[in-house]
Amino acid sequence: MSNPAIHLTLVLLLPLAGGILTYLSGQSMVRRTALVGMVPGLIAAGMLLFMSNDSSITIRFDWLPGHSLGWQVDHVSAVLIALVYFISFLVHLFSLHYLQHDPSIHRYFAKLGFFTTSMLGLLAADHLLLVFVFWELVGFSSYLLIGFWFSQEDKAKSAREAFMVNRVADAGLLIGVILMVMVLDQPFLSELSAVSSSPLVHLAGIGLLIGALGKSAQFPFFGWLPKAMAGPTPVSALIHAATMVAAGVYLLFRVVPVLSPLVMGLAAILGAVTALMAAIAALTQHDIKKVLAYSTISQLGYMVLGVGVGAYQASLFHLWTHAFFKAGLFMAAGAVIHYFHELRHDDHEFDGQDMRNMGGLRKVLPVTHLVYLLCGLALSGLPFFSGFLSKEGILSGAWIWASQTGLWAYVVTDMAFITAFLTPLYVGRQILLVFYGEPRTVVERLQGMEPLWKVKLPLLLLAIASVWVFSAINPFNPTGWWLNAYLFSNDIFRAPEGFDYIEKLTFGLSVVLSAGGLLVSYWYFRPSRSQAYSNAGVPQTWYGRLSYRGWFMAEVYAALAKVYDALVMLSAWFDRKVIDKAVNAVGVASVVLSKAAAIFDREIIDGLVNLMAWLANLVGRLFTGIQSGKVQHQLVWMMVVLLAILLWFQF
Amino acid sequence: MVLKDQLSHIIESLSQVGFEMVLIGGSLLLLLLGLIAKRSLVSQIVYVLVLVLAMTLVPLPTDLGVWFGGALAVQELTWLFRLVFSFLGVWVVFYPTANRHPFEYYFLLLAVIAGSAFMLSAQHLLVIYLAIELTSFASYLLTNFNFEKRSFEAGIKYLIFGGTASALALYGASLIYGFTGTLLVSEMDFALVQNPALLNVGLLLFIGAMLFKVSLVPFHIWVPTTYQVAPTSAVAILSVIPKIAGFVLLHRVLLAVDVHTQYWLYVVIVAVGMATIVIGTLGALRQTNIKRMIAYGAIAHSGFLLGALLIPGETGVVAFAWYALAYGIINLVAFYMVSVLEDRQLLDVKDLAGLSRTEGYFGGLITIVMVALIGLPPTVGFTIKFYLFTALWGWYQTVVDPWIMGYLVVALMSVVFSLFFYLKVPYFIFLKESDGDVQSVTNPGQRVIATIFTLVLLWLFISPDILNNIADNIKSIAW
Repeated sequence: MSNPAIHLTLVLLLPLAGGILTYLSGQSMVRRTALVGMVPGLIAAGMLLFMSNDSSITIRFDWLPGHSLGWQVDHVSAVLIALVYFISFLVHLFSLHYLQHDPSIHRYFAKLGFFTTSMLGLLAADHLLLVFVFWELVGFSSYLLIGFWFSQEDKAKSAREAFMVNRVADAGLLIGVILMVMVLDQPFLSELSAVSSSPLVHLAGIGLLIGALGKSAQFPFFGWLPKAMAGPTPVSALIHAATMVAAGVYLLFRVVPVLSPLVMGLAAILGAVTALMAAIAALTQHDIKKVLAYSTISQLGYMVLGVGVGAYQASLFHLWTHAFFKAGLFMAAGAVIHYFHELRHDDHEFDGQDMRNMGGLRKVLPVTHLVYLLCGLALSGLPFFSGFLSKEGILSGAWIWASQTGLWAYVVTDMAFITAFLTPLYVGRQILLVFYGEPRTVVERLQGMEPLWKVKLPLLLLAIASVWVFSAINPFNPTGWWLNAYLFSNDIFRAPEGFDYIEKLTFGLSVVLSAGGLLVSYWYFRPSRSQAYSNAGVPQTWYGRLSYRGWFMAEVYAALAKVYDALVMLSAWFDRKVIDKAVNAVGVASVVLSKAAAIFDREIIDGLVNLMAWLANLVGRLFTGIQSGKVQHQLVWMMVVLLAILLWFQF
Repeated sequence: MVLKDQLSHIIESLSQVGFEMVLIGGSLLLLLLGLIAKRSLVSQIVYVLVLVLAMTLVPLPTDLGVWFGGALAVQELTWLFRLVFSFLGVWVVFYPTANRHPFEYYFLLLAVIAGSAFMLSAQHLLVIYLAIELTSFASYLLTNFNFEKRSFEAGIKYLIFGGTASALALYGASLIYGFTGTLLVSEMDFALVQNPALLNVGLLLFIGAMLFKVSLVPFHIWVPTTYQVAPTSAVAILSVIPKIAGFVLLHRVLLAVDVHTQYWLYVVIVAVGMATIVIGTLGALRQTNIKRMIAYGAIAHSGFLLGALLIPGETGVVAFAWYALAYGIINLVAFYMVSVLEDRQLLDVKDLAGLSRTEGYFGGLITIVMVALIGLPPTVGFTIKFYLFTALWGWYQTVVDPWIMGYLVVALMSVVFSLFFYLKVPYFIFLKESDGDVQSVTNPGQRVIATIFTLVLLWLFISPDILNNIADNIKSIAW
């Protein structure tokens, strides 16, 4: 293996190796072994940035004759690998605090390492088959992590549901991959070239799109992400905010060259629809993590929209900024939940994730409050925060696209802008309800809730990264991302001649929308009103319930499962009434012919087995005849066969 | 040719058969040494040294040609399988019974390998006959090396069978010589013969000798009993090396006859192959003795290998070489496991019930080997069967011959049926409860060797680079 190959192998395998080591050395050693793989891996990932700087690292190896597989790390992969490492490292740190009392914490770190390696493999894979393999590994490891507390039945069930929804979408991806590799002959992501539109190209694109929609929790698959919140909260920060759900966007970003305009349009529509639906669903949630889950879906909708309208660089930018502030939000939420678990650890009825029980937490969790505030403002898209810059690019891209596409496309753009107003609304609501006002349960300061290395450091790093200077020097220039030159050689989506006014309008409108959203949320949830919230129940109006139940996605899935059940019943009925009848008919017919009817009369499988036993018996008897031990008989048998052959071909 | 030229040709030719010369010389040396140093370990070391030395003397695939006035033809396959034979041969000394065999045992193993090596390149009718006989005689003797009444009986039966087959083959050879006027396979022209009925009889009888060596129907009857009673390490060699050599030889003869124009022979070969697969598979179904079961399985595998001979061109030769190589490795591993079990008198599947309680790891390894024998992923057994079936399907699409279709169907069905008997072993190990006490069977050394053996099967599946390299080297052969 060449030098870069060895290095890449190390980068990919270190988290897994560290995880296995942690698992094998047991629970008592976790404090010492948890970071064994991550620290050298982080350094190696940093070196990977330099190694891929001049030219991409490309590795090809033969697999089956005529098929070679390959890896490639170009600038985009290298940056994302570093990003995943960074977030994963912080999550490792935070998990040490969050799960410190869990008896299976060593198993947790093994799973976390496994997930990290799978995710890195997905980013480094170049051949679509490898992409698919790691795609599935990512899904599987996420399933393991969601179901980490598998002894609680509802959590195990949630993990299974999330996994199954992903399976359905992965079938689409598989179709896309097979078409790309076998029919369109474009197996390598780095060598994709534009193809002329044909039904097959559409189909391949739609297959890939379905896969991406599934992994990125887009309509109609987004029901699984709220379910995935059953896992430990640091896991939600890593998987369901920063990395795995972004895989769909990453895949779309990679395959843009072969996506037909039809598929792109579809992506834009579905992305915008998802963004709006999820934002509405986030408005009424009581569970602190569910708000974040729906907001993640909504933001991923933005990214898919960005790819669909051709502003995929802006999507990648948003993926980048979102990874930081959403991971920050989730970890801060984890800190809140952890605090309540410590505070009320003897009260099993108490729900530490219900915002109705919170309020006024800024006094007991000051650092968490600060982090939540910074990351939340970034999420709501306020100027001087990273979220503003990246969202701006997508919004103006959508507007420009609409002005070039047609009148109907403005509906998509409008949905994106409405979402831009709803986002600060639910963010503001959550911050006000959790951290401001008077506490709705008795709280007190606890010792050791915000230890420096395991909580303050990761949280503050993520919060600081959400401020504008860490994305672009100019806080108002959405194309000013300092990585633009490195990732896209400055070849980025810009407004064409005569469309400058759209960028200016978008700018003004986003400032107004985000500030307005925050103000509205303050009006409704201002501290003096927040006490009433503790009695808030489940919304009763039809629109309230639609939002609260997340558009009844779970019910839709259940209904689909019922349809599937019905199909199964139907085929069982068909099997019974038609196939079995046919078998019986054959049986009746053969009763006349031979004893074999007795075998065929039973069910098919039984019949086959019996037939085989009968055949084996026959041969067995034949053999006992031949191999009676008398060598003369055997020789005679041999000669007879030989003679038969001679006679057969001669006459 | 002047005497001087002849001599220089012979001397030049000798340099090309260094492999065989070392084997023969080394076996004689081993025999002499054995008289002085009685310890088995000495003969084992000499045995390995001879094989390794022989391996280094294999001429490169760039250095091919026809030698000894056409009697030996050294081809790419000769090169490949000389290496494979010496490589596979070495592993016999790791079998748990290796120390119990006297020096004559290793002498005979070397003789088997030498005879097989000659079969790889022989194309003179008498050299072919001699090579087959050298292999056969050593095999008859090896069968007896457990020194039990049963094994003497089986050995004598094997001998009588082999003798009959070889008598028929000699008669066939004389007919062929009479009609074609030459003993060199490469110079025969079957199209010239006006009334070929008797020639065809001779041909069939002569081919019979090879069918006997590769255990194809109707010359397979000796296989189950012989494999059951012979020492397991000898069976591992006998079921692999002479068989592969026999197939290479059979293919050379079929190519000289031009089997694709002699349709009757083509049909006979196809029918023989299908019958072999059917009988091997069905025969194995009811066996409870593991050795006997794998013996029947080996008969079925012969049928698969025969299929690869029928596919001309690059796909055929690659399918054959891969199948032969992987089959050799799988069989060596399988018989190693059997040998370990046999050492504790556990040869009936019923004896294995509940073994997983003490030997879960070893049971897992056995399961992998059985999966490889069936031909399922993630083992190399899948790779080779998949490639063979693909090649057969490709050939069927070229010729649209229902016989080939039938072959493919029978082969596929056989895979399904083989699930039933191969998986019986893991079924008993893992799912059945035992009545009595279960004792541990393996020692750590055996587990390590078994692990290495088994990893090869998995590794070749995951990373078939070696197989691809082989394919690159041999695909230019006229097949």
